[in-house]
Amino acid sequence: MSHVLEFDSIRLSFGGRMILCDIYMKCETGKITGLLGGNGQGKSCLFKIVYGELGVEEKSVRIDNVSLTKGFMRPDLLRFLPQFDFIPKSFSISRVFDDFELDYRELEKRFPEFASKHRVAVGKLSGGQYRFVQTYVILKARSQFVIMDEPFTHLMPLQIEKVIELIKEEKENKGLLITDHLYRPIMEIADRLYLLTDGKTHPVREFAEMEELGYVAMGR
Amino acid sequence: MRLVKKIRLIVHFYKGFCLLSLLITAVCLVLFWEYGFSIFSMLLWLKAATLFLIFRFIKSYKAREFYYYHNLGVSKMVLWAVTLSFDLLVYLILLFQVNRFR
Repeated sequence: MSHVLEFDSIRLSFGGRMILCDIYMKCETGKITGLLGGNGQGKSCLFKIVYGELGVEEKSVRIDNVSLTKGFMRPDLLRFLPQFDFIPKSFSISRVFDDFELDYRELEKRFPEFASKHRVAVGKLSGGQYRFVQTYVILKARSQFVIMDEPFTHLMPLQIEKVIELIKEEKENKGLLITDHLYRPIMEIADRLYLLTDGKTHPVREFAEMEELGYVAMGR
Repeated sequence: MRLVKKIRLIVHFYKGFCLLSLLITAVCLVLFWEYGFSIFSMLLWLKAATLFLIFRFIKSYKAREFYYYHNLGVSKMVLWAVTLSFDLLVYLILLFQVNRFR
């Protein structure tokens, strides 16, 4: 079944400086929606607002036209991968998989580097593996939509490829909303792309359009 | 999410500060044993103030971990309401037990 996540009328300001003012984004089941933007443009804040973590005076977040004010209360509808490590370091991988109702054997079968590591605490994994486990559980757990804030952070190129593979797979069942500083993979996988600049979201298709809007890509 | 799993998550959250909180409870019990009801209200305030400090500390120290609980449908409100109520209840029960044997 197809679902639609939309949000608009979001206003956020810090100390008199308007961060977000003219926002509209749409995400559907079976589609990857990418959000790009420079540092400090408010991408993470926008995602936190949509998830309900960051309170604002005005916002409208809807799933299938039904208002969702506290997305974090509804993991069946929305899950969120923050840009930092969030799984308690003392938890074993099997505990995490059990909490998210996932089968650890699937991970082991697909990614042999995790073989026989089910009892290892996530904090003992390498930085890349730790991040990969977090991305995996959020992507794979049952939900209608997934918001991912910088999923490629701390990952090696090979791990990034694996995450891209997982994202493409999961889009069959979910709507995915992704932002990252690595614009190339985002542009490659996104079905719909937005650029956030000066507090506004602009639907874009080509890199040239983003440059016209003032986007300076890292490492280009 | 099943209730058992939610309880398991709340227990894990409580483990993060229960030792410190129990230590404060123990100190209050010793003081209550020595001085009795004359300092009862002061002990209540002491417990409340230290719980508030713990709350402030955990709120910033474990800010990132709250995303784990949220992704599993357990809100901050539930975590704090359950753990703080339980902690205060244990505190009061122990105070009354100490009073019985004084």
